[in-house]
Amino acid sequence: MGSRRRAEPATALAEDQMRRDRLVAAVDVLTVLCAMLLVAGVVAVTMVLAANGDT
Amino acid sequence: MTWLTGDSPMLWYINRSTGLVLLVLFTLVTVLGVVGTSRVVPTWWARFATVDLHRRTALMAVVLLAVHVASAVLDGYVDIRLLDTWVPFQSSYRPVWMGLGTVALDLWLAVVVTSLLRRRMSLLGWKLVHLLAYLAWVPAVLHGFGTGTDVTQPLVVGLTFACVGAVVVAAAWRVAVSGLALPVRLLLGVAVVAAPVLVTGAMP
Repeated sequence: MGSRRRAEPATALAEDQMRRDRLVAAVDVLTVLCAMLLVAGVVAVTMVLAANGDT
Repeated sequence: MTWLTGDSPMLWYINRSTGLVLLVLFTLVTVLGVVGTSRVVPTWWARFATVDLHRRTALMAVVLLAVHVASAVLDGYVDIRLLDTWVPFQSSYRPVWMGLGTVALDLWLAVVVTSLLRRRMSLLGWKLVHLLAYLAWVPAVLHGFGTGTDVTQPLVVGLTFACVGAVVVAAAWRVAVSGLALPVRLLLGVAVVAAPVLVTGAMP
């Protein structure tokens, strides 16, 4: 009984750490996605303006 | 690299494209900042992730802002001096609208510098300066709308209104879950919705 009581908080901590790691990975992916989108946005708008020769 | 000289219109194009992307990016940073202050978080997400994403997107926005400012100064199509990007309402080119962009830049610089020095200052002082970021978003949007060469384009107008809508919805949601007394929430909610309507109505 005593060992089970000790194991439960440990499992909860491990699950919490795994959840945290997954979220950190998700934030990393979102950051890369955001950076790619903003570079693509700048390039695309610049190309459209240049193609139109619009000043 | 002739396209990077002042004679080529490429810098002017880069300036306009970075301005448009900055509008979206700063809106995202503002929305994440507003949402990140709330303790109301879905079970599958965590507040630290919102705050982390807010910091990272803000860093990206600062880099893009540097490109936006540099391209404005280096470009020869319009006469914008380095001083005009720091001191508001000095520019010979559309002084009021350019000045609003400068005000936003100065406010954001204050936020960035105090965020870097956060450990050396009080939390209250940092929070007060950080609130300027919310205020800085308003002159930035007005700068884009007033200076914007592309503001006659329906897509750009739509994008601007979508960005304003996103911040209004985020702010209204934040007020709704704030836990303040109902009359205060109602008052703040009306202010959040009315402010952009009044500002848009007052624009020339």
